[in-house]
Amino acid sequence: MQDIQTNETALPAKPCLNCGNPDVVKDVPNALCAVCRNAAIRFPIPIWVKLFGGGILLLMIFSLINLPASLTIGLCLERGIAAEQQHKFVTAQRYFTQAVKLDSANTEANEHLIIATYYNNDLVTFLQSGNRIANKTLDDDELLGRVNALAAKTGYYFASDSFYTIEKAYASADAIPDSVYINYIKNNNDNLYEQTMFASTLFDHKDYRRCDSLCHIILNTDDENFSALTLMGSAKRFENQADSAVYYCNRILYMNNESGYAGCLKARALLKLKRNDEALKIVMDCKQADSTNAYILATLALVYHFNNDIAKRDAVLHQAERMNTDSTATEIFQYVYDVINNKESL
Amino acid sequence: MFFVPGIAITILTFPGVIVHELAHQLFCRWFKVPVFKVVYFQPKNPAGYVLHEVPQRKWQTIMISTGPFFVNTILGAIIAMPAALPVFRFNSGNFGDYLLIYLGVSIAMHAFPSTGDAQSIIAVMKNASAPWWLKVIGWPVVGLIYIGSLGSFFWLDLFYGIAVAAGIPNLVLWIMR
Repeated sequence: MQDIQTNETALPAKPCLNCGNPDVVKDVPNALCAVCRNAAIRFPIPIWVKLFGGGILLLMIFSLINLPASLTIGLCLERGIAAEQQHKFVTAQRYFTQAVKLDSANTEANEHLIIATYYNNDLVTFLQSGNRIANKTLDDDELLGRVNALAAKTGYYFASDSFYTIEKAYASADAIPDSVYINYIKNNNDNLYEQTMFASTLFDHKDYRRCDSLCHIILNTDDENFSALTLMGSAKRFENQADSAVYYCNRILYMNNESGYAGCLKARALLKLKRNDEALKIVMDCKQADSTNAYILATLALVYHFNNDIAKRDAVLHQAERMNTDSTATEIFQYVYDVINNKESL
Repeated sequence: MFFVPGIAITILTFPGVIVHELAHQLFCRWFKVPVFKVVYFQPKNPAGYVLHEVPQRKWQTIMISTGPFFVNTILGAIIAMPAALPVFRFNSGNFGDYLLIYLGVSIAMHAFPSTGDAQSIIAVMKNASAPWWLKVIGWPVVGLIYIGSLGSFFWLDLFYGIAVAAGIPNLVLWIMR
């Protein structure tokens, strides 16, 4: 590729180099008449070069049309990974979900979504993401290792086949007698689901001491077990060990500092420690991230109640009544009303 | 290790040569400089050239010589950009993505001005009437062209093409994140 210049000395006496016309343009390096000069300036571009240039322009337009989608996926991934590194898994899940919506086959986005959903305890999305990348070649060994480690731990959240058969024999998990749990766990202590279910039943029966000791056993096997950590966060508070409750909430928040549930549990423990201002700040942050969550609104109502801000408490309860109509939400708010009416302790 | 002759790479990446010469020609047309001959591509050295008159304004010589650097770089980056992330980042590129990367790299790697372009600038710089500011700009440009030309022995032009195709999208992402 060269850019070759001609620099002939301008001689007024010379006729046009191209056509011989004596009337040449003056004060320019090459003797050319105006017509030939203009023709040289507009030196013809061959049709095949025009077609080639047109093709390149079309490709450029195609690229510019596709660029926003490609950049959006890349940005969602980058921002999601940044949030993941800061243990902000709610934000991370939002970005990875957006990336997967744009490109459902994107293995990297799906792998990161699996990690985020695990720490958000969203096991339905966890399984859906896993199905999307099943039988696909995954190139990032480090990322795959993390996904596999978490996938191995999801078994802790599902009943084994043998326990599932037992569960089916009863109307609900609450109806299963303690002796059945104890016998089953004695003979099958390799799956944590049954232990977690039993710990939860003990908690519901207000047997906090046994619930606490069973959760310790679960956490010895899986120190990130969300169910056991949240049970501890509540049980310790009811055992009047609010400091300890805060410790377990902090363990969840260390894993996922955007966990609204852990934040609210911590706020309730702080209320017990009479650290109402800290509790209010935490719940307000949780509400900012999710303003419709029943547990967050219930905790906010409790904070207002213990701050003697009755008008705001009632306004929150009123708002919650309009928004939440399912049985879980009803149960959550029933506890708030019971605390307000001194039927329950914090 | 076997020797890959530069001309083989030039033939393989011919779209970049055509864009480079077309850019020279369009810059000439823009500055109303007569063009006498254009070779858009030939399978020998030089792979292409534009024969044109010396521009009346000296800075136009620099612009015509370096114009393809900007045109090829920008075009190569834009064409490769949407395919760069699936290919280099997500490992999920399809045939179309690889085609865009090939074109983007081909075009960007022929962005470097040739030593012929540098000689055109030198001729202008040596002229006594060349203003000082033009020499301040022109000589470093000439130096860079020769460094680039020397670097092409070590595939610098190919690395440049790949860096433009793969690096710019990642740079954009890094800035926007």
